[in-house]
Amino acid sequence: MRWGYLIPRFILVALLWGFMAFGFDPLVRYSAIQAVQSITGAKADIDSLETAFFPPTARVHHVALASADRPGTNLVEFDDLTFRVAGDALLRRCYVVEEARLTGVRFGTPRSDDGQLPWEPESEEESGPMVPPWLQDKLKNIGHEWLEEFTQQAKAQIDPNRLETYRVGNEVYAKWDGRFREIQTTIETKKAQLEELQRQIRTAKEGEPIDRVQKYLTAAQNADILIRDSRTFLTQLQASVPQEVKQDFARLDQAQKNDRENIEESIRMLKPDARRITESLLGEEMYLQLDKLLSWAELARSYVSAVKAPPEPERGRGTDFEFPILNPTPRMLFRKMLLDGELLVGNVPTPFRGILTDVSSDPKLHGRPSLLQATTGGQTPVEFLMRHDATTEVAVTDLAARFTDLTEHALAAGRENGDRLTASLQNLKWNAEITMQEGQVTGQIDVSSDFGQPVFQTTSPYATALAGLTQDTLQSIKTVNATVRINGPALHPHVEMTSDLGQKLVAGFETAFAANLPQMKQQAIAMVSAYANERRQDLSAKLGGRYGELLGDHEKLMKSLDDARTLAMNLRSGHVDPNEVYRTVSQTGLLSEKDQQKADKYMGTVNQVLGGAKDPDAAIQQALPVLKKKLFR
Amino acid sequence: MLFILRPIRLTLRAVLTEAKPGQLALGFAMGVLIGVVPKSNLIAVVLSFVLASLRANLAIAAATALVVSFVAGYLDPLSDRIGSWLLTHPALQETWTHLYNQPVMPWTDFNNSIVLGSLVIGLILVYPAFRLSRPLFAKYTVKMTVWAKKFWLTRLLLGVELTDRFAAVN
Repeated sequence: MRWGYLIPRFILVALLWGFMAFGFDPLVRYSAIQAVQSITGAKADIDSLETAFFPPTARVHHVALASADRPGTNLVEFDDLTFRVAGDALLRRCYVVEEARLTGVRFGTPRSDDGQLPWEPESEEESGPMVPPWLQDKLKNIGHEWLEEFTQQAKAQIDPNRLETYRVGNEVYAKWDGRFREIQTTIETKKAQLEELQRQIRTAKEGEPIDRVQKYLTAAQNADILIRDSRTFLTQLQASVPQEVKQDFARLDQAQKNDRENIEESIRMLKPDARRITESLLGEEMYLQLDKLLSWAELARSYVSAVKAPPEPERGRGTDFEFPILNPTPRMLFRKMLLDGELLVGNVPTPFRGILTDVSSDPKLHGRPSLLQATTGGQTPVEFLMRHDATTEVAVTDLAARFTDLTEHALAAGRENGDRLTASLQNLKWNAEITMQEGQVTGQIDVSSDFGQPVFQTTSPYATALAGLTQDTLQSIKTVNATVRINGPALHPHVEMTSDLGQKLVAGFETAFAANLPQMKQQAIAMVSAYANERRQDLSAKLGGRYGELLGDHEKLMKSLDDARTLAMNLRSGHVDPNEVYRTVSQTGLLSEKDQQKADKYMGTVNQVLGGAKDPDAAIQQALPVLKKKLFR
Repeated sequence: MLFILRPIRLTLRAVLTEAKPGQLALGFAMGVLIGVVPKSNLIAVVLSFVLASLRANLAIAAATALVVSFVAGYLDPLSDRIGSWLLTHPALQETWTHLYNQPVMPWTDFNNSIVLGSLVIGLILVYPAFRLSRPLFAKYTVKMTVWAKKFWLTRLLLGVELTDRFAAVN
């Protein structure tokens, strides 16, 4: 054998050994880092990776997987992962891990760098929102304003604006206001017509005697018509108004009676919505717990799916033909993995231990569901069990969690400076069971807790007494039970929360109402009565005053019309007594002031003349000085 | 300087020492076979060991395998068809099943149509490659040696005696 043949072979063997001794582990480590980074989208640090072939084992030291969403934070970090691969299965190209041990697992630990990759990893699926849509909807709809609304509602129940008495009173008041305006307008129209008549009489004094008579006749006819209309109007007014007013007062009385009856019923019906109270006080906490559980379930499902469908090799050329296997084994199988580390439970690092079994790339072939059991220590022990059964056509994931939270949780509803109800929950016992199947989720979370320190403060004077009574009754609540039920599509499930807390609080409010009801009722009825009386008085005063004024105006108008008609009638009949004419005209007020003065002067002259005719001597004696002055000037 | 160059010279001499036309042609033929077969399986590793165990010129084999690997992708459709035909042939099902159930065999990826097809193509090409390349090596080795001697680097690394050896072959 020549050295020329041996040396190259030795060199090749040496290179191969060198690769296996020094290059294989770094190559596997590099490949693992790349694979994990492509999954997490952030840096993956693996301090070292050691493999051995006899027996086939691997040991990974200190792994830190950065979070892509929270720079500077690790998604998960662990100290050691050791596992042994079954040799016979490995010869058949199956990775069967008989037992693995994962120690020092910690979540959310800080990093020295931000952990972000300089490039954006290609992602087939767009990352979903941090908060699922259902949770966003639920959190948005949780309102703490129910308490304020409730106190406002209590106030509104005895608000005068809501009373029938108030509505009817206003309606009647407005109605009569309109009616009086109409009557006033009618009277004003008739006054205008009277003025026109006066104008006709004034103009009748001018012109030829025949024309004057004709004009007086026309005026007399118009006066007749106007008087007839006015009398009809007055008759109608006097007949209808008192009756209508009587009816309106009866309506007001009926409204007051109805209000008295309704107030009692309204106060009795007044109670807050138990569902809203429950959501307001417990909703956020329970929905977040539910979301956390769903996230865990989804995470676990995705890890199992990743094992089930490992990434395709880069050069996946050609077609792989599968042949029957005598002793089939899944390509990848973790029979048992022991876990330990620390979990953050309520921001407190809590040690945990767990066992993960039967994680397989082909669950149907393996025939057993994957199970994860974990328990935590510390003050708030958590028991967690997840079962992922993909042995059937449709994979089913069941998740159960149970833990006791000893920390005190403050409950609050309402605003700091407004109506506010506060209390506390202690010793919370959570129990959750969720089932996920083909994008559907069903399950429920139950929580039972001790209830204490209820304080109800209100700024509304209407609810102060109520708040005190409510607080007293809430003191009797010792325990609270709540349940969140979820079912439907995983992204938009129907989530419903029920709790006896809401019912108990409502019962507390009702008890307080029952105690406070007579006082509230008395207050409300007094308010109704006072208001009704006030309206009635207003209306009476208005009717008494304005109606009297309007009737007075109308009477005056009728008197003027009568005089005008008398004057006109005398003129028409030919029995014209100048004295009577002037007297009548003067007394009717039909003439203007200037005309009235002229008429008075004329009447004086006539009287003098007529007086002189009765005693001619006295008249001549009286007239002589004037005649002398005129004749001998 | 000589202290550094000497191990390199010895190594290169060893690699290129199997320089008879037959050994060169064998190296070429094995290079074709290894070059055609996809590398990510046990078949490629086994072929490499076979090559190493043969008295073939490793340098020629490595260079050939490298070049053929680049063009092997163009043979994939043909390899796929041949491999699929073989793997689905009813008469061979029992054989494949038996092989598939043997330890280590799954690592060979023989159940992949392209792996099996390219192996078959490679095996078919081995003999023609050997037969055709041998006279060419016999003819051109002397000329190549004379040409290589012109370069000071060749002389430095391989030594004059090596180039003389090439010349002495014929």
